[in-house]
Amino acid sequence: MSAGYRAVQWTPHKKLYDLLLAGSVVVYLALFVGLGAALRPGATIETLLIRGFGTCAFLLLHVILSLGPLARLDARFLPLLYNRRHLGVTMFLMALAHGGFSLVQFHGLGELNPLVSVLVSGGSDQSLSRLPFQPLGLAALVILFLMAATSHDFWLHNLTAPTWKRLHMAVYLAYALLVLHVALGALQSERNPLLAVVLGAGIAWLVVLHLLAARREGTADRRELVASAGGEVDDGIDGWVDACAVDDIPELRARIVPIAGERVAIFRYDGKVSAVSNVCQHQNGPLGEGRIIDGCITCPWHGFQYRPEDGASPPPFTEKVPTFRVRIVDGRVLVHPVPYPAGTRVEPARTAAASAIDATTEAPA
Amino acid sequence: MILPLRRAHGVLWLGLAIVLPAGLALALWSRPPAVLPTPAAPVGWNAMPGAGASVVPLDPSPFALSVEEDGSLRLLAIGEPDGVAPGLYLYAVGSEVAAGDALPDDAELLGSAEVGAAVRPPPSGSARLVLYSALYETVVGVGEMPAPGSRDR
Repeated sequence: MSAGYRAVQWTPHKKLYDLLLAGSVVVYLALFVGLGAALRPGATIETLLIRGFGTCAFLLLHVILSLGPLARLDARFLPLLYNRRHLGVTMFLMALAHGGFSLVQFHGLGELNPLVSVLVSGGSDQSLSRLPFQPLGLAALVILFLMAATSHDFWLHNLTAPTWKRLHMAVYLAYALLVLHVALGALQSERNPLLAVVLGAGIAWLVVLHLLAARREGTADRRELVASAGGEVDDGIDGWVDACAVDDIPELRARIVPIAGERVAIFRYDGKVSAVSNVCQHQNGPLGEGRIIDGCITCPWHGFQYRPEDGASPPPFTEKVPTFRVRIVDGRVLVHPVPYPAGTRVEPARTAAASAIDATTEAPA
Repeated sequence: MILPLRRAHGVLWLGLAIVLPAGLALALWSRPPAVLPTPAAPVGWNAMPGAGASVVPLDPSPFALSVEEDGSLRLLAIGEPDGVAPGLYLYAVGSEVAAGDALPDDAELLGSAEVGAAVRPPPSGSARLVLYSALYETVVGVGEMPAPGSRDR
């Protein structure tokens, strides 16, 4: 979390993450080139490097696309999500090396401009598809460049998280283009069935993972809607939503409840209950899955913090989330579905136990 | 706020669940076969080397070389006379080589291997004739040079 512009806010966690990442990439490339040279002595070092960079980028893309749903399905994967953008930039650099080497190797010696040559080159003459696979890879590389170039918090802040996330969903299009790039390129000449099986398994893994995570999210929303069986409570003023029982909320944690189509995180802390939007302003992380640390709601993704009473980050930070009015009636938490503007202070509701202690304290001796 | 994004995400992956396997299946289905039909190789024609020629099988491929009396070579289809892999080249080599190997360093190109077409004679001292597939980057057939003076139909 940064109050101003900093190129990279290094932490020991990030350094370790990046060190492991760089080491893994170097080991992978060394193994790929070494084993490739041993198993296929006729292959040139350029060919092995092109394939090494390409497979490394494709593998990293699978890892990157797996982290989101894995973290939704199991919180133990959250630490890997923390620095996912460095993983993405590394993947782009591998893809760029693959594309750059290929450009020089296969298109650099002709009469055409190498980039034009890539765009007009066709697939195998012997293939029925005859679809050009190299322009597909180039298109994916352009998308990955956009992802990498706008991955910094500078862009996230200026574009706003929803726009930034929409833009970065283009990575799925890049993935689809790369699957076709591999299927219409390498798989056309490499006859080993294992390669096709591995590519198919990668597709199946990502599709199943994302659909499972989406199903789980939808099921959780529906379950919460059913659990808040009271629905709207007519209190004579306007519609309040019976969200949950106070005892359903663990101390210093939250219960996430879908209200009016969006998720609200209801936190319990120090005998008080407050409700804020579940959406972190940084990367739209799930605030309700975080904890209250040092009196602040702390996002589980990147540690952005907000005060539960007003949804504002402590100074000097400026992020704010919308807040909701909260009441406690007969041990049930009622939330008003209309949010206040981000950063608006709302008096927390007091739990019965806290109110009893207050009454005891205030009683005359 | 992010509910539309979640919905878009779910719809997108449902679409990918259909498109990607279909694309992969289509790409695999449209792969060039290992052996393509040879329209210019009528049955019977290709198994007729010239008079006095030796036949050198290029194992394990379904091809052989006819070594003509003038030393020139012609590719014959001798096994299943229904196909020829694309991008085949003939080389003369002196070193040990087997099918599935990469092309040896001492390989000398004799010419593009097309059924019925002649290629130039191998240089003296060549021990083997090699059929190489540029598509698969591997040796697909090897034949020993016939001993001088030998004739075999």
